[in-house]
Amino acid sequence: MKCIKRISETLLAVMLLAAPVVSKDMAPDFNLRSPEGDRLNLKSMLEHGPILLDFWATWCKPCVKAMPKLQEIYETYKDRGLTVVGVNEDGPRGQSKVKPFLRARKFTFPIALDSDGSVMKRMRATAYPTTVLIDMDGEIVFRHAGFAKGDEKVLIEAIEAVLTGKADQAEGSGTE
Amino acid sequence: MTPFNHIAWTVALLSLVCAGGADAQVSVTSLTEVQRGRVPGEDPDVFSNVFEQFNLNYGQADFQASARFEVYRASVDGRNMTFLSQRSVSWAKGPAYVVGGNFYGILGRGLTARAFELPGVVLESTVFRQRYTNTQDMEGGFASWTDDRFEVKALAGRPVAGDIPPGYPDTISGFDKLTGLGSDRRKDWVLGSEFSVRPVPGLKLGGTVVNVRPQGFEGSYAWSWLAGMDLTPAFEHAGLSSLYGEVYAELANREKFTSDGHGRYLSGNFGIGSVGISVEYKDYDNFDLLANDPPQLVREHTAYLLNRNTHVLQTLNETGFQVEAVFPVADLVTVTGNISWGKNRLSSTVSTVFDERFIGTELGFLPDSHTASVFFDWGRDELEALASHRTGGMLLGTSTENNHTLELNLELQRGKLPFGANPRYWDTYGVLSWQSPIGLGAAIALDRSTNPSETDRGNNETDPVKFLSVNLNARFGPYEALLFVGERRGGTACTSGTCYEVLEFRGAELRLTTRF
Repeated sequence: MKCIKRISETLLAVMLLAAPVVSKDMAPDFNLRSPEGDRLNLKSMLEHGPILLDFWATWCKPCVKAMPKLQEIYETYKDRGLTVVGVNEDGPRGQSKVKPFLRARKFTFPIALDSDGSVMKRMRATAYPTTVLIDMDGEIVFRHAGFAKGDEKVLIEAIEAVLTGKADQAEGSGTE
Repeated sequence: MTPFNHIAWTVALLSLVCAGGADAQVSVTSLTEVQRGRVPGEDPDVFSNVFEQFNLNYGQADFQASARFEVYRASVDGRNMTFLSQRSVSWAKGPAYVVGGNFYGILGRGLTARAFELPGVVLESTVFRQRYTNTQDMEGGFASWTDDRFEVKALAGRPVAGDIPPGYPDTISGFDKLTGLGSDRRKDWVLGSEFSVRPVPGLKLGGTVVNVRPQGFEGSYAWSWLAGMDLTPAFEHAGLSSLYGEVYAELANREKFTSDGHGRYLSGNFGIGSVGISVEYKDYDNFDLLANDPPQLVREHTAYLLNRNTHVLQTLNETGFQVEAVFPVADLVTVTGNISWGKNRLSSTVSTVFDERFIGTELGFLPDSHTASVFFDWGRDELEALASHRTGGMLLGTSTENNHTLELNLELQRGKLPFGANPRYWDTYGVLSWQSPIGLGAAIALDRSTNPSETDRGNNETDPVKFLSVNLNARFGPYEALLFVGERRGGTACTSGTCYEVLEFRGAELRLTTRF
């Protein structure tokens, strides 16, 4: 138990030390392919506006629950410059099933295939689904792991804040 | 100074170093698991342990540097471990990406090479009884160039022997334990590359080559030819805009090993409107290349009882296919059907068969506040000593206006083992869960089994075994906590189609995730 106490104290110290370190959380550039083979480059997409990335997999139930909300967000905000990209994490094992899965559920937002999970790692996403909102400067202004009903409201608030140039406001509740 | 204090001081130092950099950022991700309880049948009777995975990331402009520390402390002598398990420096700009150190990468569809990780999965070695991250990364270098027409990748690295914990063997120096340099985990080398071209939109042609160098054995080569084509533009050109489809083939050979081998993978998906089907074929023979991960062609189940029964691909010899169809019926239900079949030739006279049929539906006609899905699955996996099973289940959910959600998950399995006086068994699993909109949740789970492989450890071999647990979760900003109290059944668990062994556990487990 001594050991556990020592670790708890150290972890607390680490968290306290780490908090003031973190300044801007910049998104690393990446290249991914869509199921059709088109190249999706983060920096190129940022030229058109902010980006919402959703890391998901066909076998992940919370991911599938969240996707209708993402579709709604895509339809509502695409004309205001928001790019929604579903980053598929099925890997090569499920790649063949992605397109029928999307078509059957009428999801039309762009999809990127992260076959080795390297982009998910570089974005420091550790759970399915993870939603990441990146403003036009490339800064991650909102990050959320998991999905429960009502989570989309916090996400929409963050999107509105970014689109109206109030990104700082999004860094409040719900932002990790 | 303890290793934990090392970590704390590293963060503090980096904060000072980086404070002046305008574009520099330091970020931290931490996963902590604390357990107190026992693993039935193992000594000692009661034990405590702490596992910490601490990820430190530094970024400036196009550069990123990261390090992962893993620390394991147990109340049992000889199991403690401190390990710098990952470190990397990467640079990404436009179509270029270069990383030195630990990396993830894939050639083709993984037939010849794939380095990856299952996020959030912590393994406990059944032999060494140490806990560590379930990574299948490589240590070395990786570079890729991805533009609209070309894709070039090159890698050279040491894959990880996943069943050996970090820091093994005990005889290596403290420095080697910390850095992993002298560990038995990474003794082999794999070199590989991919070149593919897209001469016209929708068409991909290319190939991969790998040189496998296992320590103490003769090296071997494997290469693959790959081709993929999106048929949708052709359909559209022919005026069939409601049709879509794509095909992919990767054919690989292996030479200069004890015997030649091959890996063949074909896939396609086709659909009309919202009705779609995917078809895949596999033929692998003597095709374990140390760092490859060919498509399994097995459905990835989230249902607990089916997930336990997931077939594990044998790259030494397996042929088979998988067909999956998805078809929505108006807006009433979405039906998914899957047929998977595989055969393993274990020797010239012995072979085993795996087959599975799955049908599941999501009910779409319910009000938005209700969800329901049901499934039925049946099959056998002779390699896993499962003569037959029939499994059904349902998931019902409802939510209130203020977003409190209640879910009930029930699953039932009737199975048969290929041996024993009483080979038939029942497995039942149920979870009742509640989730609040403020990030708090609770669940109670009951797992009951009459499987002889579970019941034969008790005093009365015919009594069913029960595993009852309570799970609490809380999320606040960058912090997430999960508390498990009760009993957890051991056995196979799979994430993203990759399976691993989970030890039975009785006690309490707290998992904390933090991200700054």
